[in-house]
Parts: sequence; structure tokens; C-alpha cells
Amino acid sequence: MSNEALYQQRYDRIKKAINLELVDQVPVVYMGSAFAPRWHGMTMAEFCENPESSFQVNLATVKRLDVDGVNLAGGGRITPLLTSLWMARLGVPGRDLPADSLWQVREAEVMTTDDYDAIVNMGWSAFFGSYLPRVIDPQEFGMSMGWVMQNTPRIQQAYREAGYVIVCDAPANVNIPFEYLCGGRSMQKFFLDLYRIPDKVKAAMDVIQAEQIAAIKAAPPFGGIRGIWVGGWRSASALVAPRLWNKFVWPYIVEQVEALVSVGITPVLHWDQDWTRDLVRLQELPAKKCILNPDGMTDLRKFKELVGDRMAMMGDIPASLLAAGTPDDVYAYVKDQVALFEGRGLILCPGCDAPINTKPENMEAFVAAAREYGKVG
Amino acid sequence: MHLLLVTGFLGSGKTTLILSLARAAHESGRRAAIIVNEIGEIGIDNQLMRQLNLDVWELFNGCICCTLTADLVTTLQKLDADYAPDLVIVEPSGAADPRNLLNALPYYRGRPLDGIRWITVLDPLRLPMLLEVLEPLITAGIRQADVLLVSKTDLASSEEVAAAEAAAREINPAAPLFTVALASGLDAALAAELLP
Repeated sequence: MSNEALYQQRYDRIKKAINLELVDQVPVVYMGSAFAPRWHGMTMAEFCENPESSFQVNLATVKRLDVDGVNLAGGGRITPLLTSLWMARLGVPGRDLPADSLWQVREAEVMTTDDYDAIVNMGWSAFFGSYLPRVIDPQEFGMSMGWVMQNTPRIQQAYREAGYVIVCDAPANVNIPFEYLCGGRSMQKFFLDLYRIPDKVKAAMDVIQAEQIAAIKAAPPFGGIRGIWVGGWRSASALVAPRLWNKFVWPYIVEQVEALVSVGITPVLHWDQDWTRDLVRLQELPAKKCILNPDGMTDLRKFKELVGDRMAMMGDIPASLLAAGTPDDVYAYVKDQVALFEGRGLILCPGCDAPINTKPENMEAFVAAAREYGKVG
Repeated sequence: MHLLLVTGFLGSGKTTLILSLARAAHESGRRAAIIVNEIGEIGIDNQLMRQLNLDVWELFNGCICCTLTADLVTTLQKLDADYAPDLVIVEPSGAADPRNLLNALPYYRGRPLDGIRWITVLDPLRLPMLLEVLEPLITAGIRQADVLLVSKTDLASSEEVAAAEAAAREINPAAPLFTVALASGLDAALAAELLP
């Protein structure tokens, strides 16, 4: 079979999973930023500093595993990308940390309470530009993002020519305002803000949200799966009190999801930590248009029971299982997942991110188990 | 090898408690190790710890807590193999659901653990506010605890301390509860109670 025919077969398989149709084989995709360089003997410094190396080693990993595709394609420098998602400084391997150490998001107060007003007065984009020097060299950031914009078409083409599908192929990420602000303020300060100055926080959130919605609606057309991350980690149900979650988290998720769906983009709810309490709310989102992408903490039986007829799930092999379990443990986990979903609405994938210390034999067992148990028709 | 998990929201006094417990363990002749999220951030002086015959290990989160739990298990295994401590004190991220750890520990493959003790530290000055905004996280930490410790009794009023005690007991009436002013040091008798 040609690589183009393989691509089409894999593309159809993933699209069917999103549409909750019966598949011939449960699709399996790779996700794991730091595992790829570690597996290929590349230092984290090289991976973090050289955008081309980052792309090449991710593609090499996907080829070596021969999965159906990849959650995120990789390519570009990960630390500026994380800075943009977290509004935080990062410890970078080879600069602030040993060359083969994992990067580290620094939990520290960088944004001030006055910055909420600044966001309202300046607008989100202008504020973000003025904020950047506090967390990263703006020139470095600009060059990194420029590389991504310039090279994304080449990266997407390379995956396609090799026969592999990129699920999140939209040239951006979307974050709810809660996550940006929590990262910039630090968790401790941000939750105090929610208690003491909720109106000020909400005013800033609304400005961020309005600009993001406008950007979504102006998204240029593009092909492929058309997936995009809608991230959530500290806005998880396991952390945030329901009253606040209903005010500061869920309405923003709904609005972003509806905007994305309205322009034909598939929201991939990349949600870390446990969201079980609020799974029922997923019934409010458009059916067969979104993917839940949890990390192993959210109760999938509950998910299947509540929204299994409305939404696909991409995940959720736990990081700790990949790092510390055995191939037998991985086989058992994959077998259970496949049995639960019965061939519909499941895309097997490491939950969140295969960690740096993933055992290669566990990653290989994950793919082998997916192929063995995932045969449906 | 005993495992002592010390949880509590950021700023509740966990690090002070951990250092006090580590010193107490060392003075009682036990080989102890500490696992923290980020050494630089919380100000543990690694050299000082080594002088005390303690080993301090740092977890790298990458960006989020799923990676952290994976690192915890492999770090525990490495500690067990290379250092064979009698006691490992773990400070999990204050920014994550502590149940993440329980889900990860079954994958630990070192010497069987002699026991796991979970201490949750509560800041009486902020507990009402934290229960208002982070109720699921704070409640889970209290509910899972084997021992509850209300800290900062030197800074909080007696009413605030009593309210924190009442709130904690309502969620977890079975766990022993102590009150302490960590800034003035940990009483030897209380340290003995807290250490496994």
C-alpha cells in the first residue's frame, strides 16, 4: 500500500472514531514530547533549542512506532510554546538546567493584580506583547513562533508523505483565560484573586475570551482532521469549587468549543487531572464534534455512560504506567479500554504526554496491544 | 522503607514541617530522604541536607502533574536501589490532586513499603478561603490524611484555629489532629507522633 493510501486509511479510521462510527481497527496515536528525544539519544537541550531536531525526532518516533498518527506533530521549540500557554518562566535544559534534564515550568508570581486592569485597558494581544519580557526574551519568542508558522506546512506534508495523520493540525492552541491567568499569577495567588477580586479577574477573562473567539472565527481554512487543543489543567473539576467552576471555567469552554465547531475545527479537550465531577456537562457540547483527551485520572466508565454516544475519547494511558509499569500492565490497560469502548469513539493515545522516563518496552507494548486488541471488523 | 506524604496547599507550612521531620528522623538514627517538587523554589539547601546525611531529590514536572507522578515512582525506585533509606518524605505538588499519587504508587517495584503515612497540613488563616475556592482539592487532602496538622497557631487567632479544627474534623473525624506553630520548631514529642 502506498503511503498516501495508508494516510487515507488512517485518516478515515480517526474520522470514524470521532464520528462514533464502528472502525476496522481502533486508531492509535503517539503523544510524548520528551520521550521522543530520550528514546533516540538526543539531549533535551538539543530538543529544546533546535526546532528542526524537535520535528525530526518526533517524526522518527512516529515512524518507528508505526502508529496511525500523532496527537501533536512536534517541531519548533517547546519551551517558548509552554511559556505562551502558561505565561510563566521556564527552566530550559542546557541553560538553567543540566543538558539532559526535563524542562521545568517555574511556579512563581509574574503577573500582578494590576495586570488584570492592564488586560482590560490594553486588550489581550497588546498586553501579552508587553508581558513577554517578564518571562522570555521577546526576540527569542518571536523567532520560535515564526519558525513554527513558516514550517508548519512542511511538517504537515512530511507526516502525510510518510503516511501518518496529525490529529491536532490546526496551527494554534486555544486556552481558556483561567489557565493563562493562573499560570501568570501562580496558582496560590490566582485562587486568592478568585476569592478577593473576582470581578476584576472576570473582566480580564472576558477581554481575553473575546479576542480568542474573534481569532477562532477568523481562522483560515485548512485540511486534515482539523483538531485543536482546548487545554485545561488547573481548571480541573478535582481542584476548583463548583460555584467558581460554573462561573470562571465552563462558560468559557463552551463558548470556545462552539466557536471552533462553527468554523469546522474539532476541539480536543486536553484535560489533565480529574474532571469526573463535571463530565455530565459535556452533554451540552455539540455531539460528535469534539474529542475528550484526558490523562488517566478522569473516570472513563462514567464518561462512557454519560457522553459515550456524543463524544470520542483520545487517551488515556497514564504517564505513571508508561514510566513505571510493565508491558503486561500496559497490555491489561489497553485491553480494558478497548473492551469499554467496543470499537466506537476510541483513539488510543498516551494520556497527557508520555513522560521522559517512559520505558521504551512499555511504549512498544502500548502500540502492540492496541493493534492486537483493537481489531474490530 | 516507610513513605511519609506531606500534603497541603502552597504556603501552608509543608516545607518547614518536612525539614523538621527530616532532622528528627536523622537524630533518631534513621536514614531519610526527601523528594520535593523543585528544590530552588522552596529553598531547601541541598548541601545542608547532605551534611545531615539526608538525600534530597527533585521531581521535574515538565509542565503538569501527570509527569510528576511518573517521576515520583521512578525516583522512589532509584532511591530504594541506590540509597536504601528507612524513610522517604515526599512533598507532592501543592498544585495537584494528591490522589494522583495513590494511582501511581501501585507501579512502584522496589522493596515493599513498610507503610505509607499521609500528613495534611492546614493553614488556619486561609482555610475558609481555600475551602471556598478549592473545595475539591482541600477536601480530598483532608479526607485522605492519616494525620491532620493545623499550622501557624502563632499567627492565627484561637477562633481561627478552632474553626480549622472543626472544619477538618467534620471531613475526617477519624484522623488524629494536632495544632502547631512550626516557626518555633517542632516539639520532639510531636515529631515522634508524626514520624512512622
